[in-house]
Amino acid sequence: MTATIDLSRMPVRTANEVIKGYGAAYKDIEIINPDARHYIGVGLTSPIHVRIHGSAGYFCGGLTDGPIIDVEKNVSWGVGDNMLAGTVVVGGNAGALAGEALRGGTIVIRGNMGSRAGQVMKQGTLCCGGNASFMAGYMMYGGRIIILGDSGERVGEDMAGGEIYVGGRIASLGNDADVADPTDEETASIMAFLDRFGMAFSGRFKKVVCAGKDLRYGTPEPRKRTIPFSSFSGNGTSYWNEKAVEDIRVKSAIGRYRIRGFGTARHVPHFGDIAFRVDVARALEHPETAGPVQMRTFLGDRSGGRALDLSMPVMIAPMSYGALSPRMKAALGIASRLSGISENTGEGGMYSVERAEARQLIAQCLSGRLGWNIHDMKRSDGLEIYISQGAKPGLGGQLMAAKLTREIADMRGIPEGMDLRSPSRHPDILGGDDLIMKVQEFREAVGWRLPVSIKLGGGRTRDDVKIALKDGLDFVELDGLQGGTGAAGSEVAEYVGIPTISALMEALDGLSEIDAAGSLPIVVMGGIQSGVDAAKAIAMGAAAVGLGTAMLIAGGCIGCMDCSSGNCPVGIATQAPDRVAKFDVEKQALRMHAYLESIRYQLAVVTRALGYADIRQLSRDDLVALTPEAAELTRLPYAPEFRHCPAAASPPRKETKAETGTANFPRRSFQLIRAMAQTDASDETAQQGILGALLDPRENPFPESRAAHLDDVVFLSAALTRLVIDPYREACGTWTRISRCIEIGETSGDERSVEIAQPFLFTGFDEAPENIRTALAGALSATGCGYIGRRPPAAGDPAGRPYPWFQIVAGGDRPDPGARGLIYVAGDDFHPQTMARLDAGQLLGLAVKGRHLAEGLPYALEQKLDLLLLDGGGGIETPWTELSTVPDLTLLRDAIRMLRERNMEEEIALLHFGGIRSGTDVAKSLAMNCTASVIGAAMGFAAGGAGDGDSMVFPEAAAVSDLEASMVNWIKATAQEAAIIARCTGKTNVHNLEPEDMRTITLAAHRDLGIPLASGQHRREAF
Amino acid sequence: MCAIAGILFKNGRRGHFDMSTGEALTRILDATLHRGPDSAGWALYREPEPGRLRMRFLIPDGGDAESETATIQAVLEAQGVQVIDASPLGCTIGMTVCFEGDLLALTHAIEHQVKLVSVGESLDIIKDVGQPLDLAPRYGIGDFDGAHGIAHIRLATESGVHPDTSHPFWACGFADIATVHNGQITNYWIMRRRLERRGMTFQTENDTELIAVYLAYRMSRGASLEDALKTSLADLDGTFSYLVATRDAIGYAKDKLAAKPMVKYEDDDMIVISSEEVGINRLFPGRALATTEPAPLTYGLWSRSK
Repeated sequence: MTATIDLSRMPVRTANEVIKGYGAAYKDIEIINPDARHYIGVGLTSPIHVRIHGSAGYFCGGLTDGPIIDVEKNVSWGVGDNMLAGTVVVGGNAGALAGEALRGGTIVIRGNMGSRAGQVMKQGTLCCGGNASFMAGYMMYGGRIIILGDSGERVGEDMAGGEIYVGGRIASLGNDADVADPTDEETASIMAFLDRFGMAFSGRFKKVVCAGKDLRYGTPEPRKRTIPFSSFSGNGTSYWNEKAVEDIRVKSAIGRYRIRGFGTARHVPHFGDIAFRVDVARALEHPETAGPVQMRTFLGDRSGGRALDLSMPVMIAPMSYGALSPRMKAALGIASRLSGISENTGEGGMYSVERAEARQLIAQCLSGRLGWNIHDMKRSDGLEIYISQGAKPGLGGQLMAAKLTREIADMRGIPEGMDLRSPSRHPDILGGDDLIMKVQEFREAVGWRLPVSIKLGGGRTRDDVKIALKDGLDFVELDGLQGGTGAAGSEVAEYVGIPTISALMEALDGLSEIDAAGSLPIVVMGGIQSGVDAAKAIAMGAAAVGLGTAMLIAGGCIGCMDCSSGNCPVGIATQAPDRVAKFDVEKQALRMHAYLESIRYQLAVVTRALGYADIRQLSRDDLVALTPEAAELTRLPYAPEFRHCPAAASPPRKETKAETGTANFPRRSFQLIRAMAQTDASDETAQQGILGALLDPRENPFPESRAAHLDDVVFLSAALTRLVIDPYREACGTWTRISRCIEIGETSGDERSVEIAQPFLFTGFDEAPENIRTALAGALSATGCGYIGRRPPAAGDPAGRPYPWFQIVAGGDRPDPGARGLIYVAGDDFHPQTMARLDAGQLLGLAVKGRHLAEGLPYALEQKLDLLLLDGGGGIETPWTELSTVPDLTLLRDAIRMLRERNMEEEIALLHFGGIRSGTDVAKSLAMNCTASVIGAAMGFAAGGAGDGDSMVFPEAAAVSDLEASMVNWIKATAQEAAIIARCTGKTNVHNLEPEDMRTITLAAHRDLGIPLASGQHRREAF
Repeated sequence: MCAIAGILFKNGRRGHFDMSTGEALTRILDATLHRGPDSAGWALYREPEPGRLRMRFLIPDGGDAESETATIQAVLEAQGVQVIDASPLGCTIGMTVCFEGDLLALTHAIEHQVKLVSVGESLDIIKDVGQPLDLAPRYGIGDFDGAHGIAHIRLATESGVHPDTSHPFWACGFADIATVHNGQITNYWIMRRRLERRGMTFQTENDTELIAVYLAYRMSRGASLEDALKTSLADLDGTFSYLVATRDAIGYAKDKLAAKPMVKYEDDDMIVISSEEVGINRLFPGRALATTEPAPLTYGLWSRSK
């Protein structure tokens, strides 16, 4: 006996419940009139036979374990998505992503299958009787794909494991894929498989496998001691500080972008720059402020799921088992249970001990679908789709090989010992339109029982939250720039994303722009350290806050910031058994619990002090801003008079220990969080003391005397409104053409131009020792970069390779016909000078400092010069002036303004000189519409130089080959950094970076660069 | 972030297909409604009338049809356009006019005074905030039975939800060319400023308008539509699948990441395009269709007469 379900008469949502009901009774099912409807059979975990008479839509048989599904005709995207076991046979064709994230079982497509079949699959067999479309086996980690027909383009693109057997023609191989011959056993196994499904094949298979060139980073990053943040962030630090120089040196050693854990290290405007309107400490003395405070918070029932029930508006931020040790995960579970709040799995699957310990656990689903499966979904209390996070918007999760142990690899379903760089985006969430389908699939899988939330890193938040609302998400976990991470590209951690207070403002403003204020709860996280911070966030409009880094500190983290290496000395962020053993689960769980209870105390006291009995009564009216930045970013009134300084009475204790490596968690934060973790909740006096200290604001890190800095500029990453480009796998162009004009369509080719492979030109080495100059010439040739100087660094590259040299013509120099361009320097008093090309192909340009721009720019346009060099570095005609100059950023702003006023932007190439230290700095000058950056001091440091006043001293007797290697390494790493930033903003070419991709976090930078602040603007007029 | 739809009948044949073209486009949109609930629009290619142009305008927020009609008429007549007929339809006004001059110059002269949606001998763009099944009867979409058309539903990303940010977009100044798009152009501002410096103008901040203006610009400089489609693959960044319709053809371009879906069904009589197979299946219930998906970094043109 079988049951029949007619989908023309029953919605899929009901049908799926009925299917599961029959499944529980082991009864087979016939489905009629499916007409390509989506989600049929999603979430089925019974071994029953389901026959679909017609075509099915998206995710047919997705998130299942054990069923046998026959689809008579076609299926759309994602058939058998994330199936654990079972069999799906499709009589016709399959759309894109057949067998995506397959974790076991068998999928047979008798016809053709669409693009990206088997993306991130890990086990099982996906078999296609016809032809595959492009990128079959994209990023697969394991399992077997059999294609009887042709492979399609780029088969096996970025696969990390598994095999793809192709019976027909291999159209083209993907990146890091290779062809091998199948063994006899493999062929026999395939033939037996085909036989089982009655599929005929005669011919020979070719086997596509991972070539293994991209699985690991090459040179390991040297271990470095922590540099105190006070030496590189805040007022009065030197531009070429210890950290800037170390960063350059490391890159010149490893030849790639750097990776590190923890979070943003420099100062960022934060909740500490905001205060309450009342003196909380004093209000405590009035007995009428005592009494209970209502804090219980329900989250996630917008769509009818069962809400999370939090004893206070606090949750533990998502942190993976993998990044964290099993003991730490268990302790977090215990602490969350004891304090009645929720815990979150983070990437990589659900750790059973943690599931058992936590009362409420959110299961997070990431791009690689690592460890994701229907059973863990069902035993979770909420499902969360990770799109991005504050620490690394645009990058997927990273887990270095040292932490990818056998156990963790097994749980995630991937090969052990690779440097895991998860995809930057989901296979099937390529925008808001696809997101809604994934949300629906998840809801179907768990019978609409659980909340579905989304994790977003702050960036284009104003638009992202609108999509999240329309796509029916139950709440948003929103993470600011200060969010922590186990591993991230260090430049992305520092410069992609907006501060937490800005992210929150943008989210709230976005919702109110579409008259949806209050209809989508925002859980904000990223650098929240105490109940005082949390109360401010809630008063601003957050529904709850998330705690990540602060929980780790409460649990014993010492802030060495070496989270990515696997060498965590306290057993928190490591998998090494001897280190993990150092972690005492019970002790640290109780400390974290005490920390959470101290937060509860602080929330209650603040609420009462403001005269309320319910924490939701807190509002913006209770807050003021203590710094001009915080006021602008939040639109709170600027009221520095609220800067109470109770501690000022006694002189600060003389500190002997050095500061931490991050301004967002200074030593004081560590002390206070530890005090909270070690103080009994009922010890009112001690708790009051801690609260008093927390209410004491930090000094303004951005006083008026501090000049605008490139560090004050951040990028907005892609999330839901646009697609992030995968920095590990997808190309991003850096090819650079220096020319007077930029064409639309095909370039005519008859314009004068100089082309370089990277947007880098180097300068400053005119007087450097010969070995340095020779090495530079070699490095420039090897990397396709150019040089600007009064003479070329060496008569020629020893290997005779050419590199373009632009001659600086100053102080009576004779123009050289061998130079690819002549750049005249506007002298102290600007006066038009005779400039002439020595041949028609030579570029002609002018270098101007700020004071010459107003005259120099119109002159350059009038003379139809090819390029204008914006000299914010103190004088390009003299080496190393950058070392003693504060870079002038107004030059960029004014040049663009003047060009736009004349409607002549892009009618002269802009080169930017002054203070470029990294690929991120280059990205910033490119986004300010420059064609290339001119780099001086940074390359000096890369070559081992040391700054001495305004000169650079090089070590003697360094071998040319070593020097050249260092220089090449630095160029490669820096180019990677610039391209990673571009990809984060959704570009496949660094020259497509736009001013609109940037925001500033200080008023000084906002003023000097003319770029909007990260938040604070009112409702958009044009919207 | 949206769904696109297109239908083209070859050689005037309709085979056994008995749904009107407007009805079919609407059904495709409705089947994929989850992809774009904010607004909907159609670019319909009606029978040309010799010597006549069709123009459609949006009534601005708060405006009324009657006074707007008068305003538009005055603006057009000042440019030597003879208005034959004017009839309001929903938030739009359709006009039939006689105009002998240069359309690009006319467009530039009037685009800041009135909200021009489409101009062409055949093209008629209808778009509004709302969902296809509600809008179609209000705008008489089902009555349209021409040989081709494209359509769109939108989920707003980085620009607002208004009739004028709905798709399709007319290639401003170029008769009979319309675009719909699914995806996001990420070098929007660079390209916009580049095109503006060359005299092109924009009505909205919607990136699909940029595609339309880009194609218009390239063709104004003598490129063929196919050539413009080809160079758009390099000039536009981000991820996109877009359709462009002309008087007698539908073209498409798809970026190198090919992340935005586009499924095509073709038989002897017709071509149907949808963002999802479920859209095409809505026209052929119960049938298993052989569909294909254009490859990354490709473009093409399907003609009504081949």
